Amino acid sequence: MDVDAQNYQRFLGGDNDGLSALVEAYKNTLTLYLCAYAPDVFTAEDWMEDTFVKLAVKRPRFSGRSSFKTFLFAVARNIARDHLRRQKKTPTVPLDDKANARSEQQSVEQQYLRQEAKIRLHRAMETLPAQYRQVLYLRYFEDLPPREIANVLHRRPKQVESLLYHAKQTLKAKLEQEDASYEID
Amino acid sequence: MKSTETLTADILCRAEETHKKTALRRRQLGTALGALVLVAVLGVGVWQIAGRRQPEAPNDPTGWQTTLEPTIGLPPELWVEIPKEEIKLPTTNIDTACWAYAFLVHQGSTYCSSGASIDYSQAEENHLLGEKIGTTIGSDEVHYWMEHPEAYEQEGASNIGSGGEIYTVNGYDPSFRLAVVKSYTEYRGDNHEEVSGKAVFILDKLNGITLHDGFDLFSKRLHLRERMVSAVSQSHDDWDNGIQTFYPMDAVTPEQWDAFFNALDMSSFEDTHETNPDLSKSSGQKHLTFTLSDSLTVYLRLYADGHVSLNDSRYMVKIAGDAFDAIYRACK
Repeated sequence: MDVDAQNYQRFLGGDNDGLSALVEAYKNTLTLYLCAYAPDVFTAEDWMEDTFVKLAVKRPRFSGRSSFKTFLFAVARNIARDHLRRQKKTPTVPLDDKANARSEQQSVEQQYLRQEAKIRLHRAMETLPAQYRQVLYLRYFEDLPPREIANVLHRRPKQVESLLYHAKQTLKAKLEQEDASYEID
Repeated sequence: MKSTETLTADILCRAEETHKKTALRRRQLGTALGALVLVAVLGVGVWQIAGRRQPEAPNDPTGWQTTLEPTIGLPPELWVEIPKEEIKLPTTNIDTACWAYAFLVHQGSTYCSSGASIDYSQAEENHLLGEKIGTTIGSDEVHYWMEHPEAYEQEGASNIGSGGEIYTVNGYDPSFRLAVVKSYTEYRGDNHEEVSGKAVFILDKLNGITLHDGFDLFSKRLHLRERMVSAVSQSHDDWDNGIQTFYPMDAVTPEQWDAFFNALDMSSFEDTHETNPDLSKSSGQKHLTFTLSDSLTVYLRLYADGHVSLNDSRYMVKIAGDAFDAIYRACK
């Protein structure tokens, strides 16, 4: 059992430090992943909190058939999907809030991604279609193999492989346009 | 961002509040149960009167017109008009979240990716691809649409990318469903072996239409009742947690399916964003996926109060009584 699964078991057993350890381990990465769905980083942070609230309220069983990380990202993805479904339209974000959101996102990136090259790669991904950003984030920032990504995104592994291929081609073109280099194979 | 300590405290506080609300709702539910039993008994009688028989299966499997008898029809005040969908072109980065699904513009209408998925080999095996009616234009890159918003007005515009072949789908009304076949090359494994293939996108037009009743969608367009060969369910917890465990619906009798499809056909649609905006938060949900004789799938989400949605659409029907309960109970 991985350390995250152990922390989750601790929490289910009544030890809130287990939840705290999971929050510490995943708050930044879940926020960055949810940025691929949310209109801004503040919304992504709210949805990240909702993800942990869901664990705390429903206490879903973790079967161990995937890594705990895959399980957690799947929960987060469903939360984002339900929020998007409820939204009639994306609210307009005032310019001041956009500036604040940019600053907050930079802060989260620096805390989690740390390396400048990774931050540049993450920025380059921002202009890609959402489905490309989701799959690239899970592959290159979370190191999830296509089969696990398929579990998170509720797609078949073949579809994920195809999506990854197209996403990589688009990202490569984008990086070439900007004369930037980063190994994404 | 909040500190881990504050965040954990907030999460535990919100969880506690939710537990208290749930306990209160359970107490209220117990009080209302007696009244519900009476309504259910009366409801069964009404549904039995309203039920109708299913005619023979179609002789021509490639024809798209249903051979089922249309329903008697609901009064116009119960029809629902689904407005013409305008795909919001991404003008800024944040808009791209709304743009995650494939679209195709054909004869001035927008077709969007459906819940039905199929491999190219399966599509060929089942002779699903009909007449080739065009070729897609545009790009699968979001920048293209930001820089060329006028391209969206053109015939064949699609974010699947240019060069996709647009086909009618045998067995489906082309004003409802089309397919795009797109060739791709990808590199797999440690040796980056080059693999070429074809991907099939099934796209449906479910906007700019008026649905008179459930029959209009479930039987006339999707042919669910005529072509269903199997069904599996997924629990909401499993769906919620990304666990791909599905359960066969073998316990459901043909009569129960018949009653369910009758009820679906005769129900009216409602825009749940208007009538029940918190519906998707409810814990009583089950997920049902049908496989049809042509290998395409139909995904329905069932809510405990009787609402049924296709592919999580906000436009849902609501059915009740035994016709719904038998299927809902049989789902895990």
